[in-house]
Amino acid sequence: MNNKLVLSGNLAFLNLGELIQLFGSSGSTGVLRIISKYIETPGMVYFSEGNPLDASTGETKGLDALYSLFGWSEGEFEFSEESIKKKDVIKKSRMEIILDGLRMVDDGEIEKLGNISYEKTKGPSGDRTLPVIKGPMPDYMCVVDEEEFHDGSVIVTQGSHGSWIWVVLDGVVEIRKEMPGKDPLPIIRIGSGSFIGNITALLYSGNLRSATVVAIGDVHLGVIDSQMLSSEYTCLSSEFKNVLLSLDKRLRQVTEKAVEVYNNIEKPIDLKDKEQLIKQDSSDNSVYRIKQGQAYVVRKTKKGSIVLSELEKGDFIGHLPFANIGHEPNSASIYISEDTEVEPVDLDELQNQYFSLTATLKDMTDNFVTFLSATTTITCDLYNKGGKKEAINEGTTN
Amino acid sequence: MAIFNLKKREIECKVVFYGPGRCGKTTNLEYVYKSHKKQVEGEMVSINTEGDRTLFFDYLPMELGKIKGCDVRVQLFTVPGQVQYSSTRKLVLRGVDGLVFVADSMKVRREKNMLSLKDLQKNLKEYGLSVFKVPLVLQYNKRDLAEEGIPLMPIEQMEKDLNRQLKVPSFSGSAVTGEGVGDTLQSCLKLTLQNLQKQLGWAEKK
Repeated sequence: MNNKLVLSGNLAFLNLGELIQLFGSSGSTGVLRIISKYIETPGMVYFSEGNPLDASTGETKGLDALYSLFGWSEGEFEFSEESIKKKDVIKKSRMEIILDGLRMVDDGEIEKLGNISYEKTKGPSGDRTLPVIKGPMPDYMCVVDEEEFHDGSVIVTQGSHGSWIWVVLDGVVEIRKEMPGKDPLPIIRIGSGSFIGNITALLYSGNLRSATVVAIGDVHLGVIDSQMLSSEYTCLSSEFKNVLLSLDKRLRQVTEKAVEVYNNIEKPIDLKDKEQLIKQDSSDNSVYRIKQGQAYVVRKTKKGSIVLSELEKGDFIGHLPFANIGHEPNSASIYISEDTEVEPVDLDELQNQYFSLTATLKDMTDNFVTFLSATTTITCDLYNKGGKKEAINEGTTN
Repeated sequence: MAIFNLKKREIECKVVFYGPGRCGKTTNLEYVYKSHKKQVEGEMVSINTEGDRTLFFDYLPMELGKIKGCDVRVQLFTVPGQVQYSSTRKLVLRGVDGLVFVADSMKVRREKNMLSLKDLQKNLKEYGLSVFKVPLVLQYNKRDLAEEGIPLMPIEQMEKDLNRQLKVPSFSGSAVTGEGVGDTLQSCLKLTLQNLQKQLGWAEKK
């Protein structure tokens, strides 16, 4: 078989539409393979003299398969030149496929594969949209046991001790914050490939759970070999550990803030005597470690400014190139107290450490970053809605 | 940026019709498609996007001749104006070589025109292009509606609204009757090809 890999790359640089145009204008014959970390089998598109003949994604074939590939916006592609003996199933013209495919993505007719999607939940007093966070296919090397939970069963209880970490293999679970004397507040939902349990669960055996996790429908979880992860974690540079812990702190604070905003009990912080270090919407890409003093992560929203997190000595501030947490500099400012001292952080070192993580710890870090950015959005939405005291509790459980 | 297809000895460039929804972008392209059948290659692709259709076809501007022995093929596109169609807009505007901004002459659409032009500027900026540098022509469309007693803006006002800073060629037109459509396209193609030659250092040295 004449199988020659002639082009490969990342879809972020050349997307499917552009690839089809490229093969069209150069009249290429061969197979395009698209690999997404969210799906096991690669997508295939067969070209003859620049025209797509057929496509497949798992069970789906033909034009429908080709259209669904437009939703695979993240991933890698490979094109190999080979002679194709396939029937011409796809009759539409190239540009029509491209324009129609992109329209369907924009109109929401094609499912976008990615780490975040939105699910409408119906509550007794109105609908609320919760983000559902997914991760890449889990690495089974790290899964030591599997567990099933039935619809509505509580997997983790807020305030209890526990250091198990699970990965969702199938199904969806909901993360809720318990509030004294009230129904719990749903924060986000997580689906396959996402992790249950924080980085801190690797550190202390007496780790305190910061939220309740409940199964929505039947779920299938994999128990992660935390010993393996723990020993990997121990070997990380102290700088990188710090960053992970600092991110964990932000997530806890942002989640607490959601509860405070929801209950209208947030304490405003006076920023008048604070100095702005990083401006929201700027392209300031510096990263600092706080040596002393206090730093505040503040997002400006339609309704006003909300303090998402308060950081102190040892925490990092700034833009991490490998983690888009949806805070500074694009979506939040940093204010510092008068006595604050910061020092620059060696980014190369951090980035190298990130790229040398094993698949599971890297996925966990990425997953965590997505949690943080989604929870931040939820908190700000609640803030903009004015922390209305309507019950937005989900109807199917409790 | 135009694509050079060495296999076919062709230069492929992209011209996009931009403008507020219902301003007549698609009517413009439909007219070109119908009246220049000989210069059109392949079928017209028409996608139903909300509010407006998105059109595409290949156009061969024969009257412009060859450049360095290569035929010129122009991909003509309209772009859906609605915010939600960001993927389509991105594909269409990426690497655009020339633009026609179709403005609606109806008085009630004055603000829509200005917003759409601003939007164009913002979108181009995302691909590192400047509305002041990209080959661009304006068309003040729907002039024919005056006969039906629909209040239109005078050309001078539209010039002031839209072309005061740009200072690009502008045409009044009526895409329904075809008036001004050819002139608009010709002028845009001429600018586009001149710009290409300039970029490639092919401008004739005098």
